[in-house]
Amino acid sequence: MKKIFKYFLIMVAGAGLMTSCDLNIVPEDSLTGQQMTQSPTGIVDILNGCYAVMKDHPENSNSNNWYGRQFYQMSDFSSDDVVYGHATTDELNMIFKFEERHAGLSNVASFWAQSYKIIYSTNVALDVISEDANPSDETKSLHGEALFLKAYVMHSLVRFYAKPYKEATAANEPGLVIRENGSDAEPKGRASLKETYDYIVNCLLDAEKLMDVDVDRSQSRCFASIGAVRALLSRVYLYMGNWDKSIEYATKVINDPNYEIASATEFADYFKSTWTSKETIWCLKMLPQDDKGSGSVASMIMKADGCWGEEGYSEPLLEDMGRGTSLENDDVRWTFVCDVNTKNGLDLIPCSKLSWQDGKPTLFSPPFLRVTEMYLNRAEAYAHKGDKANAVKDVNEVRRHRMTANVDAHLYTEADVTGDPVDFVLKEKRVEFAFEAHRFFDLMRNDKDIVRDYWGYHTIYTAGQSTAGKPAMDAVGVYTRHDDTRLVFPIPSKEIDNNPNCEQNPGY
Amino acid sequence: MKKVLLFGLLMFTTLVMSAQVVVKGVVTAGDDGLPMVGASVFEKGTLNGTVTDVDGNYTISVRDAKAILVFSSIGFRTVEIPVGNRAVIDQILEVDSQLIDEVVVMGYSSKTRGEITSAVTTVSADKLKDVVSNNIGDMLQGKVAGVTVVKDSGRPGAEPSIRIRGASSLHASQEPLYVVDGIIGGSYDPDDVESVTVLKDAGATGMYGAQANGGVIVVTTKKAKTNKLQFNFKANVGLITPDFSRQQLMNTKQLYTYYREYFRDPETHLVDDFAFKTALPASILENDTDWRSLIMQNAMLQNYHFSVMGKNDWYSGYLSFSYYKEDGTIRNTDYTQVNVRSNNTINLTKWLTLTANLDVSGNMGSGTDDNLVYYVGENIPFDSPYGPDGNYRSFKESKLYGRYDVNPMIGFESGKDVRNNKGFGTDLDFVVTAKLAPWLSFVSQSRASVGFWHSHNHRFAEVEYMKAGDEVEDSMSYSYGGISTNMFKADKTFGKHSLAGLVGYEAQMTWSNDLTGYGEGLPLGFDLSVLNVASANMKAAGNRVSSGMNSVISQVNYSYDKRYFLTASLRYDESSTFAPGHRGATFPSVSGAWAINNEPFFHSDIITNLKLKASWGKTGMKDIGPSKYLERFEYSTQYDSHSAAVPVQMANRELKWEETSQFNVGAELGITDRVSIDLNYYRNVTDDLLVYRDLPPTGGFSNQWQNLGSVLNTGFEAALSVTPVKTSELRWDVDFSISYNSNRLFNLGEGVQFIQSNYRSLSQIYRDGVEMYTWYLREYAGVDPQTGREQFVAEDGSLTYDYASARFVEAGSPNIPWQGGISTQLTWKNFKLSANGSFVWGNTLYGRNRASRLATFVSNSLMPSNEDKIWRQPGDQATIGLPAYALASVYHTGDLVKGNYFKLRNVTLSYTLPKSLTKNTGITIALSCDNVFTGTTVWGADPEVSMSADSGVAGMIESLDNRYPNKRQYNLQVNFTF
Repeated sequence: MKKIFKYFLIMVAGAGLMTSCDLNIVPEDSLTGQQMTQSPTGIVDILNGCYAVMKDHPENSNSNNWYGRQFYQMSDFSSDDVVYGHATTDELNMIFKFEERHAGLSNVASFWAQSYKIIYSTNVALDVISEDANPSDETKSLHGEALFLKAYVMHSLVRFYAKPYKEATAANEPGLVIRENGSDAEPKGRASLKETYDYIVNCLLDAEKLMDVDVDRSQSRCFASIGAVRALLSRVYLYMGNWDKSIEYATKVINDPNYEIASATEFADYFKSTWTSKETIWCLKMLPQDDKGSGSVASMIMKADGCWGEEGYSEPLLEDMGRGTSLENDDVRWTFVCDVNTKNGLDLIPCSKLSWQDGKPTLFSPPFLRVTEMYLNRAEAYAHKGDKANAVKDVNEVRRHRMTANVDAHLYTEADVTGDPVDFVLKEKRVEFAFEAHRFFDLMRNDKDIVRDYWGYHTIYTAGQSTAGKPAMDAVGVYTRHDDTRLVFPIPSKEIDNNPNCEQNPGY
Repeated sequence: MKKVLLFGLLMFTTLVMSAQVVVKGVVTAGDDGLPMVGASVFEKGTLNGTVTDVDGNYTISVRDAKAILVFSSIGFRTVEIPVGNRAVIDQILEVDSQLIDEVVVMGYSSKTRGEITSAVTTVSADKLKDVVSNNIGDMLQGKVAGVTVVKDSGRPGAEPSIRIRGASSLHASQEPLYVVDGIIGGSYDPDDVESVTVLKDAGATGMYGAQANGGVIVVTTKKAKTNKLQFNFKANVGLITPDFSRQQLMNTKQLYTYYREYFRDPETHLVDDFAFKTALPASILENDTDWRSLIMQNAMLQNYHFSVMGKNDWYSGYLSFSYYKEDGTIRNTDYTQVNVRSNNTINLTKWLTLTANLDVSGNMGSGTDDNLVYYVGENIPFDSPYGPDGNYRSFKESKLYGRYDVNPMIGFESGKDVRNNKGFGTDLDFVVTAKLAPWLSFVSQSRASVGFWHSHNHRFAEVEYMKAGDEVEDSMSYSYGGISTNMFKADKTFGKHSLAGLVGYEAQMTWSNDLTGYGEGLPLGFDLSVLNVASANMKAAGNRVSSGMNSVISQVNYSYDKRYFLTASLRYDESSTFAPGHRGATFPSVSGAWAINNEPFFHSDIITNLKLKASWGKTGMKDIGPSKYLERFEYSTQYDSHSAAVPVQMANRELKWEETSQFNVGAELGITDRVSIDLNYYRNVTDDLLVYRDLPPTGGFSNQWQNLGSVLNTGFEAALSVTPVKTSELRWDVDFSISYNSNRLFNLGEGVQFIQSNYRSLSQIYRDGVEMYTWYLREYAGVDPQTGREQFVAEDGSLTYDYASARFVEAGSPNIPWQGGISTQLTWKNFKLSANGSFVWGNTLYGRNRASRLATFVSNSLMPSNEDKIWRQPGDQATIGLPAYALASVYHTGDLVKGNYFKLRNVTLSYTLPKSLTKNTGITIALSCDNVFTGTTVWGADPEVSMSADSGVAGMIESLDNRYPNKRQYNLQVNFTF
């Protein structure tokens, strides 16, 4: 008996001593960049990931801080289109209140970090693709797509974090930190504004050549395409003041049979399924499971379930839309203007433009490039060149597609344009692209001051205060010169603290 | 007849032994009231003595009435009783945790208290159990010097966080390692705990190497002590009330007056009463809703525990069942825990022992949606939840003064917003001990664990909520793992030398799988809420994670003549956390002690214990989650239903262990049996701190795991136990502990600093020479008496209203420098009165609750403190500025507060029924109150806040809406032993 036990014991001891764990454990939901780039499907997945970063927040479960929301808020809430109707601890407060902006804002930091994450992904893909000596059509197209995504993200960044481009000064103004490739991660200074714009344009020109191939992927409006590359070129050239090139690329897109300006009837429902319309050149597709609810783009400006509804149309925007005129009935763009919602004594007018995909008030696939912009880019370029006739022609083309009745009555003649034709175009663009993140940039690059002479929390309004009359022009937050340093967003402190070579913008 | 015989016998003995006295009686144990077997009864100063029999009876003849009887037993306090004229002396022996011969369980091995060479504190069950809770952490609060126990929530079932000897890590886990019945990890019910040993220095924790940076808590569960079958039943019922500390809410009238300030014109400084009355008509005053009281309640606590134990020559067993149910002070919240334990030891042969311990536990919790609680907190007393019909009204279409269009009471009342979770876990311990030779044994101890967790949340459409509609979400996780330790243990004495040691091998591995499903579109009008019935927007997610570690352990103990003690250990760990090449690390330790009182030259009847001890060793930490060294493109999302990979982690193949070198010196002093003092000084240096360091985001990643810098924790701990009064009927004990810890970062490098903001721009700075978590905020300069605007200090020292140009300053840290505890116990006959409390002094916290109060129009109704003053006109020295200029979402030094507090944790009065009434049954009745009183410098919130940077901001007081209020608990407990 005793022997059996001893034998048993030795067995137990032996088994125990031999037990050892295999410590080579790797994650089961992820791969390394090296593993991914060994396969073409891996590169596709990395590029898909770039779009995903625009619709998710990859590192923070706080779904409010995602790229799309920050993009729309930082842009439109800085403009004269939106009333700030309820004080909030959300840092969107400082988008409205220029004087309270500072480098520690997490929304401003989040947009910056996510943009550069996309740039990193495109660089990882580009490092591998550009090594391919005999690329297939698919590879060429992916190459172009990566360049486009990088250029798009960089252009959006430079619009927020640097001064507007002026040919005379661009070589001396700071632009972006340019990350050339996947291993370019060390502290690095900002390139000049000129270098930044040249870099963006070069990416796009290369992409245009590469994407001139017939592949299935770029047929979808949810992905980059040669049309998207050209549309962005038209926009970037417009921002650079290169009117001829902007006209050239706008025309290329307008003439592309893939795109067609939506009719007034189509436009009423356009935003419910942007990816299906020929109006769209490129949109960021959001599926029902991507619905951000109260953290959606629509949430702050829409009055519906799941929406905060604390912001709305500003008085001057409604003026430009033709408040009190027949346009309220005839112009389809008035269908997005909702009934008055009174908060704290402020009459807020919510906007339903960015809602109702799949019947959901907070679901929307942002069209980052749509063909109507090409008409207005071209119109503005003509206006800058002094070609009033062509400017009016393009603006009328847009208006013809926005009127549900009495179309001709709402078209312009050259004689109607009494002031600066650029202002005339910008007014149309303001109405057409209200809440679509254009107005602020259009004002900035045209040296227009921001005038917010209406009541809201951007002023020193307090709840319940009388809203009769307008706030004084010299009151806090009402009148802001276009060259006010706080209109250029701060480089996030996280960058400055960890990248000593990176220069902060003046005033922070 | 008997009396005659007895008389004759007495006469005889008197004649023979001259004036001898016979004394007899029963010795019983103070903890369970049972007769004690084998307790010794001596006549003081003689060799005359006896031991008690199975029923605790003894009989002894002593010289005369002046004789003194000494009652003693291992693990119990020795008692000396003068015989006097008594012939019967029944004596109760109290459990003593301070005795030199007490066995201290150190994890892999056990030592007697006299042999201990390192900083170790043992807390016995009777000292733990004054507090009624489902976890040991609550029970340890304030009872061990150098141990910080923080609980920032009164949520039923919530467990506190524990820090031993200061903050030692930035972003790796700092929680101590739990060792249950000698095996790392494991679960237990607090009612099954026999004792808890806290290992504080590397002399003791070095044996746990890579897992021991946060210290080690060794839990030992109960085992049978006597041959007699012993039953114990404990029933506890309690009443729980919410404890808001110094937090008061304004009623309608107070808030209405307060809101009038919002109508003060910034130019004229006059209130526009017309606008005020227009916006906020006086009819508001007709309604006064105390929103908080609508969702708060007094709740019930029930705790029952039944156990039976006994042993014989070949078997020793313990079986228990416990039930714990706590209702929450917020409606619809509760927690239930059921635990079954079976400890079995079989002596198969003289040399082979098998132990199989089984612990099965299950728990269930119901919660409520945190957002509903948040809405309640944001609502103001102006709005009524009721409609004209007296039912809860919908806020969607109502005019409101509060911010949200959500009436949270609809969710609370309907029971249609359900959050519940269930957990289930089983541990099976299997230990084989073989005595291979008188001095050598082989021990193989293994544990297999299985855990299962499920949460189910659903909300029906009729619940008002920000997001419309209904939804259901189910999450499950299933984990399993094992650990096996196989070691040889030796123990031999050569004359005055004694040598012991162990060498062994350990392997551990865990796997966990999780799965989450989500759906919307539940059938309308029915109570169906499983995932199957969802019809829209279905989502699923799941992952699998595993980790493992292999280790070699060894330890040597040497002692000479009970005077000199030396312990050395060496452990080698290899973990899957790091890249190949950086997986292994060696953790040595050495410690020694000198028992001066055992020296021949040392003679003292007063000093009963005098010992000096010193230790040095290394421990490590690796708990940062798996695979942090790898570059990771994660496939957890999609784009337009295509696979999408997102770069979420930057590679760092050089990542390695964070290591702490710990040095400890200590002294123990015992003066008679009345006073004992334990002093320790320590100096701990943690190198290669695991830091989730900020990077310039332009590189594609905002953070990377790195080893960077060192932190030095130095401090001392003093524990004093005094028994000022001790007679046979009255006894008074006082325990007092105090500790000081200082914390300083170094080795980051010249000019290197990083600023971490885990919550918006609320930032903390890390650089050489400062304390960890040092606040780094813009400098606040109070309200400008002339304008009522908040002012800041600019870079050049001038005052400015511009927050963005205010300078950053370092402004204290939430690290706790001074803390301690005091407990006292008064025993008189069968009555016992005890109390314990703890304090914290000298830390700086950030009051988010304060920040949101001062920001304009963030609707909540928190009452300003008595020191607050509202600015009304030029010249006012105020703390609350003009609302028109108030800044929201700003983080500055004006919102820092001192975190000092004293908490009276517990008061207990208990009474043990006399044996004469209860025969063999020991019955104790106790009345107690937990969390009796808090005195603090913090206004508006409970001062106990989280100290971990890995799960938020260390030292931030959450705003009123985001925190489950603390609780006060009144208990009635009855304990039966038979």
